Amino acid sequence: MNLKPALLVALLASLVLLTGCTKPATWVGVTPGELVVCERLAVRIDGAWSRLEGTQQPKHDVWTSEGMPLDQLHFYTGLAEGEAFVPVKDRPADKPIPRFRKDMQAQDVVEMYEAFASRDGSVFKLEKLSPAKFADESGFRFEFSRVRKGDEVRTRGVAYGAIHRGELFLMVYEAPRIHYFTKHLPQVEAIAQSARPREKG
Amino acid sequence: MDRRDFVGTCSCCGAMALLGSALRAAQGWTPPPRIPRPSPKTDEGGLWALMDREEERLRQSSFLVRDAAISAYVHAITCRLAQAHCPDVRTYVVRSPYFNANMAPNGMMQVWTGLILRAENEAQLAAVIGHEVGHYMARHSVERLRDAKSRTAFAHVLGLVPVAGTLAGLGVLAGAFAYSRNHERVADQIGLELMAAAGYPPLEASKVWTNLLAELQAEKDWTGDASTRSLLFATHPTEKERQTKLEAAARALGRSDLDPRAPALRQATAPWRQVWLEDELRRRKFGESLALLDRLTAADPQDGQAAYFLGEAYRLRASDGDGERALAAYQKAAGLPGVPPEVHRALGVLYRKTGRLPEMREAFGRYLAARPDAEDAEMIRSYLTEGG
Ligand SMILES: [Zn+2]
Repeated sequence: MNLKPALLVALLASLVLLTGCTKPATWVGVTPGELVVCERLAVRIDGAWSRLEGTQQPKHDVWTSEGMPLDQLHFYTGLAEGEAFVPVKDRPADKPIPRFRKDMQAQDVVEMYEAFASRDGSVFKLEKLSPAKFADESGFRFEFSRVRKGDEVRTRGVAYGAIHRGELFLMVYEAPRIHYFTKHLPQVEAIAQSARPREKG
Repeated sequence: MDRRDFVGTCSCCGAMALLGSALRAAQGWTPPPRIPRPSPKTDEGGLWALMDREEERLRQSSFLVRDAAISAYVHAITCRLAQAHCPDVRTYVVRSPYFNANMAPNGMMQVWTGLILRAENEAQLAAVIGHEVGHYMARHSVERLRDAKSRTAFAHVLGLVPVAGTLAGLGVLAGAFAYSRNHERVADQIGLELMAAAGYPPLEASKVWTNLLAELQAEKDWTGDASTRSLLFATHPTEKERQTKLEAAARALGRSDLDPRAPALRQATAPWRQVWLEDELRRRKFGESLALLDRLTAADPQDGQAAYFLGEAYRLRASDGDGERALAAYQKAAGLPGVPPEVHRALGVLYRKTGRLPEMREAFGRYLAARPDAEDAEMIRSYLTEGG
């Protein structure tokens, strides 16, 4: 599926709106090697990635290799009890948004992510959920497929998650099923294997 | 008709005065002859061309339900209602958990799965389709097109489509067809006449309303949200009146002896109900979902599938006491026919959280026995070996 420029612009615009920043967020190249995501998750990378700067979300980082919206790598670093994948407040409109609870099991986290990934009517399907080491914990790994509502692009995704000292660490990679997903999967797996939590400074 | 259409969004609150004449006009009503394709040179022809493009897009959409059986079932209902117009109407079942149906002037009819899920019988589904066929037969969209107020909306849509392509959702187009209150009443009345003529008891139309209003109220009660849709009731007290009028008109038509065909709907939707209920819970409108599931479990207390999803709705809502409510619902569901094996997984997860390990192992064991290749089987197996 070829993406029309207007669609790309619209998707980028919606991304900027989603991330809620006041000044336009910009993509900045990530230097390969060791780095710490949001001061909480140390990873090692060797590929060419860009990260979105200026989102003003202290516990969420978004990266891309091919450029948005082609592929995206999200890090959620240390969500605490009551927090969600989007900023939430104590208002009626936010009541249905699922929030993290530290007694959540792997299934619950997957479901919480599913609610987030299908909030616009996209169709999310869990393909596989299994135990996996992540962030020094006995965590979990899941694979999913999705049909994005906006452009009906069929994507695949892989995620690693763990609850470390009552906080949720999750990294999610998602890319079009054709070509891009398998192209970057080995790199994403390597990043996940390298991930180590950092305690709050 | 999306829900906004059905419930009514128009700002013309003086419309009640028009009601009498609208109903009188509709009562002497006989189905019009088939609608010929308008000349492409006319404004109506332009509208048809626009809708033809939308229809092509819909045909390609991955949200279109392509199952022949369910599509044929719903289209057959359309045909029973549309009578001679049947060859001019195409029925598309669209996978979306919202209460929505709409009919474009070119005969493209969409019925969303959230609407089918909510119908208690075939007659209730026919009530909504009949209302839409009513708009079509009365060519309300053409009147809207020529109405000064909506011309701007159409111009907006016509201007938007070539630019944004796939982003121009059908909802945008549907918005341009926000019919007047008078059109709604005429479509209601035609819908009732078509129902009776097709052998459906017209009174079922008002039950669709009753259920829908109850769901919206339940959602408002849960969220405490005084905005958006609940505003509908604050600013449009006539909505309840519309329900009353519809019921009165249905009673006037009689025919309550007709069969609403509940088993037919149940049978046709059975292969899809689990997926649609899953979609329903993804909306996270737990007030609405719980009202729906309370209705389903009350209608058939032996329905294991509905009982399981009632538990799911409580678990996902996760308000005070919902954990206990979910557990009770799952335990009841586990002994009922038609319950999906996922009920044992749900029980296992709750037992694991509360440290009831023997019960956890038994529940997960039953789940894995039924679904050895489940997508989460590896994760579940790891729970069975933990703690020795
Ligand atoms: Zn209508």
